[in-house]
Amino acid sequence: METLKDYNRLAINFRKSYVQEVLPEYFQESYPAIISFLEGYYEYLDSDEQWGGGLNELITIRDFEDTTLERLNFVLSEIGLGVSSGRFTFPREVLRNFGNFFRVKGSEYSAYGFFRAFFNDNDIELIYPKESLFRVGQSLIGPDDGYTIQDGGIYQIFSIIVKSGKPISEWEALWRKYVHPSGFHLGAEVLIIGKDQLSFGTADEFALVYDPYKVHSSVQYNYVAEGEITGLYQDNELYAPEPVKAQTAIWSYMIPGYIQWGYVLAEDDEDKARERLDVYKTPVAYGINATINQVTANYNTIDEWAGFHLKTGSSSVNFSNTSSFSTFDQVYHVQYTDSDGEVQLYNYYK
Amino acid sequence: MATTTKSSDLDFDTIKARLKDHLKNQPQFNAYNFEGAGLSNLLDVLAYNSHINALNANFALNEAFLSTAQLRSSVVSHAQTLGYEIRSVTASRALVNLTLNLTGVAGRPVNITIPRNTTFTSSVDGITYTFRTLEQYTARDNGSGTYAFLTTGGSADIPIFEGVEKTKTFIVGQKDERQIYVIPDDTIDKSTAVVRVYSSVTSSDYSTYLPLSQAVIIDETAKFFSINEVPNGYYELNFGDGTSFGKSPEPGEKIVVTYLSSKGANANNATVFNPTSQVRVNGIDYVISTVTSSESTGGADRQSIESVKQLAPIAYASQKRLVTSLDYKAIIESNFSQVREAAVWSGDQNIPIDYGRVYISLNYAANTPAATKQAVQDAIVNNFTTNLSVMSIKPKFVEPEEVFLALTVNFNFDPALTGNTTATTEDNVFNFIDNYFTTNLSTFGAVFRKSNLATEIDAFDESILSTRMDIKVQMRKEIDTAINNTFDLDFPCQIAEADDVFYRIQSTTFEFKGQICRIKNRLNSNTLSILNLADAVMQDNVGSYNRLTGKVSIVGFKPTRMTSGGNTIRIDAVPAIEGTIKPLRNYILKFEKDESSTNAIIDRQTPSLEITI
Repeated sequence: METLKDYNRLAINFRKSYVQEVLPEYFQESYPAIISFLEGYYEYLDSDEQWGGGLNELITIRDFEDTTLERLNFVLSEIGLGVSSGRFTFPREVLRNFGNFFRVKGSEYSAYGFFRAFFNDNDIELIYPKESLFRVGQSLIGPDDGYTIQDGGIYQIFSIIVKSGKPISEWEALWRKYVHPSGFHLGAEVLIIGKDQLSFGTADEFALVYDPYKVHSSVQYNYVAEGEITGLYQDNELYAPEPVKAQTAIWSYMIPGYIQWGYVLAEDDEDKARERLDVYKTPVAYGINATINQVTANYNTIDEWAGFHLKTGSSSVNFSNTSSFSTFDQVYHVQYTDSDGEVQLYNYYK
Repeated sequence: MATTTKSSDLDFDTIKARLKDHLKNQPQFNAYNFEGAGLSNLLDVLAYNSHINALNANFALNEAFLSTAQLRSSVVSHAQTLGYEIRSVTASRALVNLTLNLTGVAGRPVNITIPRNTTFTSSVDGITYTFRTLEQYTARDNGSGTYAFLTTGGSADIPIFEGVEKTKTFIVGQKDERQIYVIPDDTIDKSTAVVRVYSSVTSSDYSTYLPLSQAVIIDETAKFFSINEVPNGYYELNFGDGTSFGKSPEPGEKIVVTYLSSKGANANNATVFNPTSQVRVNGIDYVISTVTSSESTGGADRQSIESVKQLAPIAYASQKRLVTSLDYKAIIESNFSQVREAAVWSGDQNIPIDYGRVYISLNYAANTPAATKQAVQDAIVNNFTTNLSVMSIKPKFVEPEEVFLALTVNFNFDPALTGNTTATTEDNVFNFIDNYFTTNLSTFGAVFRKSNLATEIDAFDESILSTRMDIKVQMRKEIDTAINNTFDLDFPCQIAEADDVFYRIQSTTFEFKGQICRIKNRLNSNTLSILNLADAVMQDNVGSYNRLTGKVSIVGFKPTRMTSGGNTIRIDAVPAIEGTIKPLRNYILKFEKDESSTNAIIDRQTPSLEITI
């Protein structure tokens, strides 16, 4: 007997030809061909695809370390809810930890472990919207404080937002199967890091959370969306000493009949910080493309772009890979999918 | 369906061909003629040997995994490895009201008690089954000699269980050997087992051990037992190890196990129970009067191999916790034989969204009484969700939604290919479709595929040459004729676009403003109206439908009465795509018999011989 692999456990080699021992001794001299023939036969039987190989495999067939990935899938069907070994970079390591993983399901530990194991992603962030809820008598009112009134959706007690580098459509089904505390709202933010040429996925990749709202079957814009673009000027540059520059800049966004003054916020104040120009797109009349195009055209007239924020309605399509945002040099892009079907895309300075 | 591992190709000819190729590639044999009679015969023998052994190897490999094992013993063994407790036979259970009339009997007592094992008989499909009480019950004289037996909770519904009470006795042997107590009975209902341990063979003093599932704290003095199916099909009684896993009976002690040996599902649906025990009062036997409160249900055979294969892995994943929706499903389906299946979803996936809730819809066996359903729900809450779920998350039970499919089936039929008449064949096809729905579609998530059914109808009888069918999807709603009814119906499909000739939505008839009417969509419109039978408008707008979402919204509907009797309105919708009807999460597809039909179209493949003179 010999150990095939030095795991000090089970792998014992039963492959041994007894042809010569079984046949009478004179066969070796008189009929060497028949001995070679039968040994060839047993060698054939012991090859991996034949039953001899299979029998030998029985010894270690449930050994995580030794069995083939094909057999490992059967073990995974028993203790891993049927997930395929091909999903993992280190399936044997994952298999060893499934028991622990199931015992801690619903915890932060399991959430981070889920992304580590299934997506090799160590950079997710869990956000609890309940921490941003406005509390009467405790929270300050105003945008700077960042509190949100409970909305029966994301902003309520039973809510989790996962911020990761992957769209929710890639991981939602698995998350719900392995981790998600049933009864909680699940939201997601996608962090897309890129530069120069951003490539956004297809609509399917940005699938909305719920089938009933998933109306986009093809990639197209319907422009029912809101948007905001923010540019930064040097201090006082918007109005003084060159108010014309600001006005020109603002008017450059104007498409007669489509946008109103009320949608443009040009900030000027007495501090020494750079000024902010926000351009809001009307929800219906002014399309995302148009807004982007206008910004592109005026890109060089503005000191620095802080980014943009686009928001689709629940019946709107998502952002597609036909979109080109290459003129924006902010490297952080976040696509946020709400359970109401609303998709928001942020480009911001970080 | 288990996936079978394939250790080698099992086909004889393939084995022989591969063996030949293998040997031909050996340098010492490459000049041999393998087609020659001698070598060919030798190869036949070796290939046959390989074939037989490969079969055995294949069987052995398949038994190594839960998902591919075929033998119950292997499946049981794998499930035990996962810590899964396989359901035994479950005794059918009925509720009866028991009374005793001693009016006029002198010297009657104030209280009368009937003992455990008071028996009753009932017949199902011509077979008699014995039911019995598993506790004693007491009744009090109401003053006029009538005694109504009550549970300790004060209920008049007395549970009785089908089965024969059996007892198995073991004497505990030496402690240095692991004691194995096998109950050689595969009809045991584990939940009825009572385990008493006597201090000696002759002693009448005993300690009662409790099921391990009831354990809260386990130490060396805790008295718990478990009964598990073992690979030989029988059941093994286990105790603690005497240290950390609970008390172990001592050598010389006597273990007495009492349990019900049951016929399982066979005894379900018994409705009339005749007492076979009598109550003796002052030396005279009196017969108990029995009224059935709830017919027998919940009886089940021991868990099937397929069920174990499906549930053991998800029960393992649940780790006896209720976190994910799948955990709820595993716990419910593993512990309640009355539940055929459970659909569970998170409140954030519900419509409308309901955070902090887990939605549970249970599909019961046919004819399960409302009382049994309520008891199951109560048990799920009391025994599981309250203890095991995430704090503050509460379950919400919802009824399965029934969606009916009305089929108009036309099939080409050649009478020459069968001995049946056209009418008989039409009836046979109709019954075949009914059975198809029962067999294939009466579960959550089962998808109707028109082509599959058409294929099966074609194969049902060789006289059926081809089949086509039109499909309508129907949902039903209880109506209160005293109020304006406003409700939505979510059809599990898109609805056909409005047309200028055909109606897409149509209801059953009802009386409205003195005329017989239906709800229909206006032609070329998604607006719903009430029309009389001549299609004259009686109420212009009674709602609308959204063809993309499949939602039919009825607003302010107040009929005088439903013409079919009862209060149910049935609303048919023509699906946009008939090929596939995919139910939503807790929808169950059913066959709408009243509006379905099967029609044979004579299609003679062999012209009859006619002689013209």
